[in-house]
Amino acid sequence: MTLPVLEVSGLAKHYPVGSPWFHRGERSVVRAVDGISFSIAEGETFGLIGESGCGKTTTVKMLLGLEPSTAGRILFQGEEVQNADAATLRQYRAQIQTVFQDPYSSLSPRMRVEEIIAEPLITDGRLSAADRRDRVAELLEVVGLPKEAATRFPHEFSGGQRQRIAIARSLSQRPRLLILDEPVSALDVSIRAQVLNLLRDLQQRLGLSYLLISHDFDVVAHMCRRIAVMYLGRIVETGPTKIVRDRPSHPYSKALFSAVLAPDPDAVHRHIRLPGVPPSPIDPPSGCRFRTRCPLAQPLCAEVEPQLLAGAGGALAACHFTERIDSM
Amino acid sequence: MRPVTFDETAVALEAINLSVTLRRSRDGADIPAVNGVSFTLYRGRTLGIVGESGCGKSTTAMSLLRLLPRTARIAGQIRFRGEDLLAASEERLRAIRGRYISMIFQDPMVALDPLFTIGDQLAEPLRIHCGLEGDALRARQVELLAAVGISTPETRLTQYPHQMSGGMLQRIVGAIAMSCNPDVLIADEPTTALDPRAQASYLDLLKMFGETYGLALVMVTHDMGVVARVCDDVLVMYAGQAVEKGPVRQIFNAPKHPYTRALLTSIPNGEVEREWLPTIAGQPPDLSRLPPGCSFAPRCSAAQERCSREAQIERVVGDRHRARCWRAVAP
Repeated sequence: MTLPVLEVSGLAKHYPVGSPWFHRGERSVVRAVDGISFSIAEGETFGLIGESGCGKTTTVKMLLGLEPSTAGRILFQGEEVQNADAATLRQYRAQIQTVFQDPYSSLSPRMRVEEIIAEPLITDGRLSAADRRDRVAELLEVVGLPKEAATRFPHEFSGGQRQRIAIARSLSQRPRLLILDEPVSALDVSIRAQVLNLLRDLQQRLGLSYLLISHDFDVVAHMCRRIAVMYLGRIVETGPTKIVRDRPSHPYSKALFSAVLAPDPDAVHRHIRLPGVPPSPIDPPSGCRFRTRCPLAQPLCAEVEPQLLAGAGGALAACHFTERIDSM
Repeated sequence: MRPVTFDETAVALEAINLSVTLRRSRDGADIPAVNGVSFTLYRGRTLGIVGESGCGKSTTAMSLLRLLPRTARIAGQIRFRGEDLLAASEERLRAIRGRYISMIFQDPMVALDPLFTIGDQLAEPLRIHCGLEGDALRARQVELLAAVGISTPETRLTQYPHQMSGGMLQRIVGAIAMSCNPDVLIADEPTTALDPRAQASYLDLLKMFGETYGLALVMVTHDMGVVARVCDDVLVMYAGQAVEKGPVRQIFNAPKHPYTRALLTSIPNGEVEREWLPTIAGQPPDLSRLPPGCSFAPRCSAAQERCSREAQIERVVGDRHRARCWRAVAP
């Protein structure tokens, strides 16, 4: 097996809350991300799923170096990132790029397409103006836009074309890893397929790795061989997409996938409802964090936090009673 | 709230040859946003209006209550309780909106006023349309919140929107829409802003409303998963026209219009790591410069020479199933 492009181990982000004046020594912390580990291989698409507030966005911020981590390590192509010197960090940041959800707010309306795509190259400063122009032309071709697009403004393009511009910009510094944060959610159905195909094509041609974050489980299944399910700052289950989705070992994954809206009027729905409301990440429940909403919870779950253990079909799940999953 | 017995063949509302022309502010051009759309809403049934941005699905839904810009021109008829809503006075419409026909919008954070409590906002339609006050008003408020699945309704009434999650707020918007037992409920992308689990349970709630209270539901969406989950009938719109309409199973299992077919095959179908998705070439047309003939012809893989010359009228392709395509044939 080749070296993973990205390896994350025990990564955590805790935000202190409340005034330090009144809570000296015992300030509460929000455990936004609390010790997660995963790795992404060369040319692989890895999916991270979970509901609002589960810590996906904080994870991305730490990967991009926009938030310092509280604990854990990030290895990029085998090299530690967090304590790297400025030059290594600069190189790292060029190698990992993001495509955001909304191509209407992620592109500056006052810049021409060529300026948008070339901006990372100007900051980088290694290419001459002429070389930058060539690179922009090349990138436009790679994402399937006409050469003439270079001198136009974002408002002259449709949503799908704008997302192509955003993808071209993310590729300008020849990254190894793209973080795709809901890359097609803002696009129309007929345009989604075009952008998903483009992403797949780029991956094959350029050997890119993707970290895909999405609420659309069908898009995740379409793109990813492996996924991780997050709940309240922890990974509760991870493994091959097919196993985690069709034969989940963790009660939360099972409930999550039971909510999928299949585009088939004859599909059988067994939407598993969870009792209660999501607990606060400030004082997460003791033991297993999911126990307050879990239909399988036992007294043990409040005492011992379950670790990720090998379950069915090569997946890892953090649950004491995974053998009872079929009773849900 | 007590379940209602109703006749499933009873027509709740009928839109006949509805057309809406909007004025584009950029250049003053007339945009034919909706072009000759007809459909019938039945009690206890859900009609899904599907299509992509700019196809006219929201404009169609808004025109049922004439919630359109002042410069808009509407033609056709909307028959409701023996009158034509397009001919009704503004005063008459105010008595209908929120009372007999109500609406749920996409984003509950925008639909609710952040400065008023949930109780205040829920009381408004009950005071204006139902004349409730005092204990009767309060009892009805509590009953409505309980009906949309909100626990501890008494506490929630005194709270403000920012104290609740998006899924809970959308339930409250649902309670407000249901407050006067309307005949018709129009939901415009009601679950797009919600998490997947909140989305599924909200759709189940709306479906339950329709079936239990004999409500005619209109679901405007771009999501075929939503359509499959709640709709009985489907209207597929493209460039302002209804290109296909029919019962949900016929639309999914035997689509007759090439656009419907392309739409259904281009969505990821849950298969893991599928290689390529079939796509629809090109972009939707600019409504101010529609091509002659069929609007979909320039993107249609089955288009013939005739398609770019003459537009097809709706043809019958099955039981209650219509498609606007020369090549669509009855089974």
